[in-house]
Amino acid sequence: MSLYLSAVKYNLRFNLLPHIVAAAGLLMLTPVLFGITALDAMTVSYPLELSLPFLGVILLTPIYSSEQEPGTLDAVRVRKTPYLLICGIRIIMAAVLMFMFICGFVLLMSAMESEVSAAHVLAAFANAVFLGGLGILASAISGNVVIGYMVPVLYFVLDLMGSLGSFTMFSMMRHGTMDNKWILLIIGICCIAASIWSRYISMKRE
Amino acid sequence: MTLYRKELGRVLKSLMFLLSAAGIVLFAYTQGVFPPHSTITKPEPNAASYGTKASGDPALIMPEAAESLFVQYSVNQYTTYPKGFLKYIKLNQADRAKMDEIIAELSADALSDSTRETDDTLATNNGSLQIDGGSLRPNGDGSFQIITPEGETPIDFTFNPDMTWERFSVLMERADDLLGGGSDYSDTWMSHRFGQVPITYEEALADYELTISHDKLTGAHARLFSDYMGIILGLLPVFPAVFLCLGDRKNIAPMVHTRRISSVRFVLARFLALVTAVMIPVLIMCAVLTGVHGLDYGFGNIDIFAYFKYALFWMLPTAMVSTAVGLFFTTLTNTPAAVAVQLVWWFVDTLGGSGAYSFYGIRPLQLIPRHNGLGKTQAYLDYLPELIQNRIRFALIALVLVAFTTFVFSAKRRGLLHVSVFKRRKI
Repeated sequence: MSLYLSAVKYNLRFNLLPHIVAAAGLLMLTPVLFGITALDAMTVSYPLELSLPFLGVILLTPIYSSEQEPGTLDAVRVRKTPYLLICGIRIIMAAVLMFMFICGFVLLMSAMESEVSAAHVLAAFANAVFLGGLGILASAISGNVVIGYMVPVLYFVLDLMGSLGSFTMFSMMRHGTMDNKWILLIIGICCIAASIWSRYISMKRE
Repeated sequence: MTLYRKELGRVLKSLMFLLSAAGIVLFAYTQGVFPPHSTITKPEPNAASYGTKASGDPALIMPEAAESLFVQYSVNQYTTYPKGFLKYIKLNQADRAKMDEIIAELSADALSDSTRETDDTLATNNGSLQIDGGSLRPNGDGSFQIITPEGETPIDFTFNPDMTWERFSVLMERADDLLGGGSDYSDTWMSHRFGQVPITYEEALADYELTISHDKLTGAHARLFSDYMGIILGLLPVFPAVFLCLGDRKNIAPMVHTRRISSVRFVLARFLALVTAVMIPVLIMCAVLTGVHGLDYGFGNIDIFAYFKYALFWMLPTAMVSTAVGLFFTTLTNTPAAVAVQLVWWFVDTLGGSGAYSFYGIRPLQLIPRHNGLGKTQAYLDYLPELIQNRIRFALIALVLVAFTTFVFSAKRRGLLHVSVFKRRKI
C-alpha cells in the first residue's frame, strides 16, 4: 500500500502538477469565453461540450510522456516496481482529477443559476474520457506526446465543423440529447486500455 | 539552402507530417470542397429565393433592432458575443433601470403602467421573467405583444416613428455598453443583423456575370476552398513546429547549439521548411481541383492559376502565423504550450465575431478570413482592400514571431536564457 501511496505522491509532484495547472487555467478561461450565468438546459452544453473535453487531453494524453525520452524506458524497465502498474495509477489519478474538476465546474454553474444536473457531469466526463482516450492511445502508439495532442484536436475540429454522427461530441449542443455519450465513454475507456496494451508491447519489444 | 533541405526532409519523413497532411485532406473532404460539391450555375428567373443581403437602410434596421431589444429586455436575457462566444447576460436592477429608459425612448408610447408593474415584479423576482415560445406574438404591424397570464394586460411595444438614426445609434451604443459589448446592437453588428432584404434576380445575375468575368469560375471556387482551408491551417501547422522543436530537445539540442551556423539562418530555414511542408498537401489539392474544374467547365473558361494565387495570398499567411507560434513558444518554453496558445487563438478567431463569415467582411486581426459562399464576387471586391491589409499584417506578425524565436534561440545557445519553471523535472 505504501508503494502505491508513494507512486501517487511522486506522480503528483513530478508529473501531474503542470497539467493540473493547465487544467485549472482551462477552467478559469471557460467562464470568460462562454459565460456560465443563468444558462438554460440547452445552452449549458456550450461550455460543457466545447471546453471541458480538453481536460481529458490535458490530463490523460501526457501519461506516458516521461518515459518517451530516449533511454528513460530502459531505466524504468529494470526497476522492481512494474511500469504498467505505475501507468495505471497515473491514469486513475488523472481520471479522478478530471471527474473532480468537472464536478466542481458543474457545481459552480449550478450556483450561477444555470440549469445543470448530475447527467451533465457524466456527459462532460464521457466527452473528456473519449478525447483524452484518443490522445493517450495516439501518444502510446506513436511514442510522441505531440502526436497525442494532435489526434484529439483534429477529431474535435472535424466534429465541430462537420458532424460525426453517433460519434459526435456535440450531441447536447446540436440535438439536446446525451444518448450517445455512453458510446463515447466506452470508446474512451477502450482507447485507454489499448494504450496500456501498446505500452506493454513496446516494453516487450524494446 | 542545404539546411532548408535537411529540415524539410526531417519534417517530410516524420509520422507527424503524414498525419497532418491526412488531417488537412480529410478536413477538405468533410467540408465538401475536395472534391467540390457545388458548381456555379446561371440564376434562373422567378426562382423562390436568391438569398438575402444587408440593406443598410435605417428605416428597416431601426424597428427590427428595437423589437429584438425589447424581446430580450422583456425576459431580461440578452444574447451577446463579447469574445466571439455566445454569452447570456442578465442585467441587475441598476442596469435594468437604465435599459428601461432606452426602451421607453425607443417606444412610441412611454412604457405603460402595466410594464412598470411587471418591472417591479421582475425586480423582486431576481430580475427574471419566464416567457415560453407561445407568449410572444407579432402584431403584424411591426410591433410585438407579450401575452401575459389571464386577467392581466398584455405588454405592447411599438417603435417610435419619430426616432432619428443618429439618436437611435446613440441609444443602441448605450444598450451595448450596458450589456458589456459584443451584442447585436453594437456598431459592428447592427447593420448586418437587422434590415436584411432579399436579393433580386437582376442582382443575382449581375453577381453571376462578375463571377464569370472577374473570377473565371475557379476564383470563386478557390475562395470557398480558402474559406475552409483557413480553418485547418489556422491550427494544424502548430503541431509539426512543436514536434520538430521538441525533437531537438530529446535528441540533438546540444549538437544544434554548438554548430557554427547562425541562429537567424537556422530558425529561418526551419520556419520555411515547416511552412513548405504544411503547404504541400494544400498545393497538391489546388492542382487536382484545377484539373477537376478544367474538365467540368473547360480549361479555356477557367483561370488555371486561381487556386495557387489564393493559396499564396489567402492561406499562406495563416499557415505562417500558426507555424511561427509553434516555433516561438516551443523554443521559449521547451514544452508543448504552443498548442494551447494556438488552440485558444483559433477558438476565439473561428467561433468569434458571431458569424462574420455570413457578412463577407474581414476584421483587422482576423487570423482566418471567411467567405462562406460560392460567388458573391462583388462582396469580395468590396472587402478586398481590408483583406490585403489583413494578410500583410499577419505575414508581418509571423516574421516578428520568427525574429523573436531567433532571439530566444540565440540566447539559449549562449546560455543566457534559463527559465527554471520550464525545466523538466523527473523522478
